[in-house]
Amino acid sequence: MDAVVLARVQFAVTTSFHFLFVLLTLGLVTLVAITQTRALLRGDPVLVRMTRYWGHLYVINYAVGIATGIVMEFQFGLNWSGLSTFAGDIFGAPLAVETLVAFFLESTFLGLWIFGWDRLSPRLHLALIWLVALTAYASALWIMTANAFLQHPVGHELRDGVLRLTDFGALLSNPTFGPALVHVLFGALLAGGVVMAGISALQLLRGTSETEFFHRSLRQGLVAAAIAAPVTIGFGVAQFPIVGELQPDKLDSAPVGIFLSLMMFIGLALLISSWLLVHVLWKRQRRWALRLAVAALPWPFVAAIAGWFVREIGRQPWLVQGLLRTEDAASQTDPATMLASLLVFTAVFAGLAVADWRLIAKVARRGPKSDEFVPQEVRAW
Amino acid sequence: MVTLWFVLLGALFAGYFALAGADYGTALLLRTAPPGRRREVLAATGPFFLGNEVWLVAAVGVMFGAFPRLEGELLSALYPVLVLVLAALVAFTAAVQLRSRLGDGGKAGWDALIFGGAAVVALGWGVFLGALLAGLPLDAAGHRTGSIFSPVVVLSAPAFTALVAAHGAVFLRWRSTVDVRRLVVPLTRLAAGLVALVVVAAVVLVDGVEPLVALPGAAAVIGLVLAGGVLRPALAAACTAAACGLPVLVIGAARWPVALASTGDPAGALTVAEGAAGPATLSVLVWFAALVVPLVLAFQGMCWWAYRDRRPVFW
Repeated sequence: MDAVVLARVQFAVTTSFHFLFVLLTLGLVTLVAITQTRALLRGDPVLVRMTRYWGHLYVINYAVGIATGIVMEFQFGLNWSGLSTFAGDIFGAPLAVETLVAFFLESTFLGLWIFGWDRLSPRLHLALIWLVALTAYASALWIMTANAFLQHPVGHELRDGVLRLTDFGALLSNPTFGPALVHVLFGALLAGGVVMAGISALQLLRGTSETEFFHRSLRQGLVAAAIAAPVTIGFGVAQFPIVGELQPDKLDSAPVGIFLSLMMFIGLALLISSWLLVHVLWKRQRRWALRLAVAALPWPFVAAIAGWFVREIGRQPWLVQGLLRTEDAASQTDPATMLASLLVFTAVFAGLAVADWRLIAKVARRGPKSDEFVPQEVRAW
Repeated sequence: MVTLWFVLLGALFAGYFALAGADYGTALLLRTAPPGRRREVLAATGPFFLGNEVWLVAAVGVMFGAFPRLEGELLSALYPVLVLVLAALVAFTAAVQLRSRLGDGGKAGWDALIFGGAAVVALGWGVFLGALLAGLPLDAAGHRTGSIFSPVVVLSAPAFTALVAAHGAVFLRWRSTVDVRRLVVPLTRLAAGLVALVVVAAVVLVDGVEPLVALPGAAAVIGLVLAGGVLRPALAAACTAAACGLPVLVIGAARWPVALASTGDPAGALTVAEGAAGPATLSVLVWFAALVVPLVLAFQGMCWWAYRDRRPVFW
């Protein structure tokens, strides 16, 4: 196989795994921040425990997922040095801002939040989780800015065969940026809500003794999903006229059509079921409805990956639409090396995803503990 | 402006090596603790772990934004080494987080991943630094044409690993309940000796390095790591951290204005200015850097302050 195909497969694999982590991280952080705010305002001990429990699941996903982000960042230089050479001035700028404003600050805030439970004032501790959430949204914002440039390159001029930045503001007013960003952020909230509701429903089906804890979590997750689903769908549909104007051939190929239909079908199904379940499960616990909430668990993730495939496969054969072909951007790496690195990263990422899900499943099945996720002085373990 | 960004890039890499050096160095010494007490080793860096590791992300982000051509050439020229470093880094980071969480069994497997991951990462960054010092076999188009392994690179890998391990020992002596005092002096001496060997090899074999920068710089690295063996624990840890961070700065300054030297065709060398993005990009980015870098320093400082009491803590 030639190096370009291998580089593309590697990018698809690592991006997809990375995005699975990111989606849940973005969705859960909002819910944890809201729960912690309510806990502080009301002084309700159940809400405090909910913050710790869902915060624990969030931190697991973040801590394991952060490693995939490091690989993503290196991949542009490793496999796509033609992109850095040709468009690095413009594509690199939002990515650099993302790593500084978002990644760098976000991990610093999160580290303080994880270890700050008993050492910082409750208000400062609450402020930290909101700072984590805001920097996480900023991360999505700058990544989507960079991606929107690939879909519809703006704010540049071609000088000596290299793109130079002329208008940074144009990157942010790019029509392929705004609606897509809102679509992704609410898609993440939808995923977070579905996960929270699904795990709570699973606990209630198994006859947990923590009925109040999980029924309140279930309601919170369902409300989040019911709010997020129509917004996600709305901002998805809003992109059709933009794509029609700027990338008219984008949705023509067969695989793109299949992924698009799959995503739209899942979106609609999640919209209907979240609205239905909010009504059915608000006061009572009906088993069929709880089972439906559990069955919904994987689907926001499938839809999100399908959505990325539509956006990225639809852009081919271009890497930067109309300016740089994918085949011209790949690094001069020999195919054997590329294949080896593809196998290494796929194995490592798959192992990581399995470990992450096993651990989340373990904590989810176990339910809340009294000493949940309190940084502990270590004697021995 | 380009100079300012190159200094910032160097500072971020130096910060990464200095801070995350403690993560890798303590992990290298994991097996010197009895199995039942190894969690205390990990807990010594516990609250700082995430904050330490993201300096790499910031450094590579700045390299991509401000020096896109340097990033493209450097990373693809070091391809196999960096793939190994990244895979090991991912495995290491995940293993540190997961070791105490997925059931009680299998600790030996996690420990092997943590030790092995840290070793590969440290050796790999040693190769990276050696390649920056010795230059890469680049042709006139800037593409790699041969093996990157020269005597300098082969020596710099264990030298940097020893630096990191020495820092790990000094750091554990400062912040951990695990007793590694007996390792401090031998490891700092080993590191100093290996760094001296790299210097000798570079003096004999490498051209284009400014000796008035490189030799005092190398002396400072050796002095700092040896000081780590004799000073009181907190100060010693600061010295060995500086010894881990300093090499990348010394190499960058001694190679200036070349960012990426070529061991083959001299036309293959890439200067800092050639590797940099245009002035428009750099002046946009400078606002974000001016906002973020002080904030990160303040909040990471706050984290160290909150955990100044040196009790090992893990989440």
